[in-house]
Amino acid sequence: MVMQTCRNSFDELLEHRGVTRRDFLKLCGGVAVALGLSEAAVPQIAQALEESVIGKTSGALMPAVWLELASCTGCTESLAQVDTPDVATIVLDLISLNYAETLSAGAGWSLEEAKEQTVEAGGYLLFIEGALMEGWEGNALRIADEKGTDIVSHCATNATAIVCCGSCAVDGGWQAAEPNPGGAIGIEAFLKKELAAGRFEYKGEGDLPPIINVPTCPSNPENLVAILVDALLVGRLPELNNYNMPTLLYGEYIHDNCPRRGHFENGEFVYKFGSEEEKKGYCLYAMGCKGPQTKANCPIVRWNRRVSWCVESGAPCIGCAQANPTCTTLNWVETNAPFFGRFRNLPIAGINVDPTFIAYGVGAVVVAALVIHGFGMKATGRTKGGADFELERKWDSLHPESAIGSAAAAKEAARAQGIAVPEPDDASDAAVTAASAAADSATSTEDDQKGGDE
Amino acid sequence: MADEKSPTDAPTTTPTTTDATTTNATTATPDGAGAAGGSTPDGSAAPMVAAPISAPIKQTRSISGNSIIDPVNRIEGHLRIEMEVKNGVVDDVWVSGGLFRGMELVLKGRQPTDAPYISQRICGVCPVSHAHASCIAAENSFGIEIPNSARIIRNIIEGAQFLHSHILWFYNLAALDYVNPLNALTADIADTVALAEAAGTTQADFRSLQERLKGFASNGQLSIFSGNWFDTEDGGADDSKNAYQLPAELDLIATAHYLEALEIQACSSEISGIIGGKMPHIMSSVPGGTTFVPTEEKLDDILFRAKRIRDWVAATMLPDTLAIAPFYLDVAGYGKGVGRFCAWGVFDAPSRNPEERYLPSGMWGFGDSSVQSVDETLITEETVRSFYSDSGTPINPRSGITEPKWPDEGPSRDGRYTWNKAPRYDGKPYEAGGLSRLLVAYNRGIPFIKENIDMLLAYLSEKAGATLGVEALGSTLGRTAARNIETLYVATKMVEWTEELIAAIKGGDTKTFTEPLHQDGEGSGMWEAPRGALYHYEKISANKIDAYQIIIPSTWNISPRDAQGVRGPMEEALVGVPVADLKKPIHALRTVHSFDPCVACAVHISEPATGKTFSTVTSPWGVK
Repeated sequence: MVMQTCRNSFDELLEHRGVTRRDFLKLCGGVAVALGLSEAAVPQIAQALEESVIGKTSGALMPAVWLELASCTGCTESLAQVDTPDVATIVLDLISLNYAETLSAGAGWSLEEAKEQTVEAGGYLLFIEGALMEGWEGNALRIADEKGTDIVSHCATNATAIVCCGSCAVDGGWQAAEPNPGGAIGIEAFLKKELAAGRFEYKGEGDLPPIINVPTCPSNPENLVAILVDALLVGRLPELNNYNMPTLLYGEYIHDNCPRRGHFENGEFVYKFGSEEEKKGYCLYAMGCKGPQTKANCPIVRWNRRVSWCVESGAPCIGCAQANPTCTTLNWVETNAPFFGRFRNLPIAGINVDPTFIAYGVGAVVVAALVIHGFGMKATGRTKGGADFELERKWDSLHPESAIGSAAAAKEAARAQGIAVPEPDDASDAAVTAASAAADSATSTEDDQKGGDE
Repeated sequence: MADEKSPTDAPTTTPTTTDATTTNATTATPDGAGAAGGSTPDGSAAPMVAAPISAPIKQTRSISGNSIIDPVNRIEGHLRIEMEVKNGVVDDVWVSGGLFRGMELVLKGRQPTDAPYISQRICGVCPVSHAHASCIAAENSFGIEIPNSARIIRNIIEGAQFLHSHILWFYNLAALDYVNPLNALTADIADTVALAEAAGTTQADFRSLQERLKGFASNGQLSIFSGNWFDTEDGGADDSKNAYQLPAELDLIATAHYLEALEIQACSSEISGIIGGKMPHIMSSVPGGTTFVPTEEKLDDILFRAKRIRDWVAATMLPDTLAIAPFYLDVAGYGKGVGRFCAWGVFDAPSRNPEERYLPSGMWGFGDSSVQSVDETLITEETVRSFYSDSGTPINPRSGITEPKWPDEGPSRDGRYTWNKAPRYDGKPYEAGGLSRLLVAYNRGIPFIKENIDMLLAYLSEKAGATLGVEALGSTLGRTAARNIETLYVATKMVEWTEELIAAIKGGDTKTFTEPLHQDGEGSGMWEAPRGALYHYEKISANKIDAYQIIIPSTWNISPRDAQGVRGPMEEALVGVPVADLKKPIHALRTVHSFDPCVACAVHISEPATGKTFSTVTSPWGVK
């Protein structure tokens, strides 16, 4: 099907697509008028555009194709918000965006024609937004009567580079979350699979076109523009890490650049929404913030023309940049939900895995790192003589299966039951152990009651 | 014929030669334009007028055959329109959505606090509405009401999304059905300035823009204009003319405002970003209220943006509508649809009563004497023409069990042809969207809406020489005009809401979150997205979602036929639309765009309450 575009005879191609010569000449006429040329120029234009409904196939602008697959159009929407430069400058002065369902003037067959001709000419950037759907042999996603899987393979064969915009294109995104109903998969994993099966042949150098993964949900337009600048102005592709993500953009943890980091260091946490702590802008780690385990530049480039970002809105980071292009099951939703919890049931292949197993098994390294990182503060001596949060930290570190912050509630419960709870300023080991035990017994009572209700 | 369209053949190159334009220019300049000076525009003083109803479409064409638009461009998602054309008009039509994702199954078993974050990712254009509908469903399940300040904050972020969506839709998506930016290359700058002045719309640096366009054109690469339909024939009353009718000067003005609109919609999303952290996909709306803390700095950031947007909409968006409309009178003559309208209501008032929302809930149809209250139990979904194993009877979403199933005989026009289900209310198809909201608000007597629609109808009546009722709004033009009236209404309200929030905070009303009382229950969130009535439903036990169900506005609009063979609203609207060129059915595209369909949202399965999954499905698509 897609190879039909490689025929030599343009007329034959048009005819195959049900386009008559007359239609084509009319189209050229439209272009001539559009360009402000006289009708006498029409035959010349027709000659010049014989190969093209996209105008010249190359020139001052880098040709580009923007595919929308199983997407919410959020990445296109996001791109429309950028101002450095704005999207009009991008499509008029930087790239020739010959195919973009949401932005193109054309529709239907003529739009498809624009895509085919761009692909045939080669030398274009391929932007892909949304997951690829493999469900029902690729029929879960059909555009213009073609399977999404065929479209991606076809468009990738001749691309200079592929930019996977947003976490869905990187690893399937939320659609790939358990039970992955439509068979969502990321572009890199799909193309590697096709290559291994001998179904994909890249026309450029190497086995696959360079793939640049740009996760977060949606993709941050600042990052897309950064890549465009690299490609168009500097004339190279950005340096990539093992996940084919630009090192400069995805090299540091959100936590490390978070403006609320100081509160973390001081042990000042938000334990619930609508609280005094929230109003003071304390650290959201206790609310399940995934900043410490998510690498992205959100706190630095921010969003929507730099007005804010997630943590500044008072919500914990939900780790939408955590996309593993080699493994669909490690999509960010599955990895991080429940978003307000420190640990979670992780459905793997349909089985709910015990959180304790996660804590001590798969996630042990992460947990250990967090415990060391988050709770190793006592020795630093930043808080002389111990502080209110020392007890909570101690309790938290002993209870990896509980949400951070449970200790405070547990202490309350213990006091309510008349169990002696040491005062905060007494941070001796004995006192902490006693408090921990008191909190333990209080929580286990609570848990029993909960169990009874069910 | 394309060849006949040269700049000198354009209907007019100077404003003084077009009665319609000059008439509009004198009557249409909204008083709100004065708001550029900083005064608060009295929204009711911004008259909304539009083009007269056109003469009935002449069927002079002999064109017959199939006409297919796939992909439909400049919308959200993947939509296919398949039409049977007879004698130059659409005789029958099949509308189908081409993507299956399965949100309900992904949500099942997760926590209700995760649902707003995950479910809003159905749609990058209206994520705020999904987040809110999901939050409302959870709040109803938990039996809690959000604090007053949280209510206002949600109204503001929802309003910011409405403005972003409507402005982007009109200028950056729909406008290219009417405006040919490349034609602007031949515009005379002095005439353009004069025309903008006469039309009462915003001036711009037209010369620089034209130079920029010339630079672009000299590249010879067409970019987003690749494969355009600018040369297509009209096929309407005067079938020899080109479908793109604007004089080059007006094309230049509209192109300048296309670029301005990109700025303004981004400014609107900045408000969403300030409150929600980022847009698309906000963070701040959670079941129980909001995480956003309204500090003085943030409130100030919101207020000045709200005023900027309101002033721009009044000074630019409505005058542009009026200047362009006279060139496309045919558009008022088709695209009626089913003539029945549903609205679940949006923008909560202090009373929290959906019927008293700033855009209230209600059911109304042409010919009805009054608005009926919404009865959730009358909502049903049918799947006799969709890729599901049909239960035979229409079912309410709360008890909905529909299992996706690929038809053994394959998809066909006579059988099953879409993934989209057929929602019905009391057994009838209903249209959702801005027009529906405005007609319900009109009939519930919201002063601003009533005043503006009455002015519009008076204008239409004058032009048509007959007394026209609201039925006149049932058209592709009416749908477009209604959305633009709504834009001004919401833009005006945004400033009021921000001031309301500031007053509330000053008065010590700083509570923004309500703790859930329990973690079991079931409830629905009936709300509105920019595209219309939005429904989320969830059943929760022990803080886990047992069942989740979503009915999206576009599900109503792009609905297939039901068991009685009754078409959905968009299908019905397309019947009778003129087609001059089977490959570029421009009027059909305009009509599809007037619904602002959002297709990624629209395809949904019912939650398999029985634990059934849809592994039996072999292929979700394939209308041949």
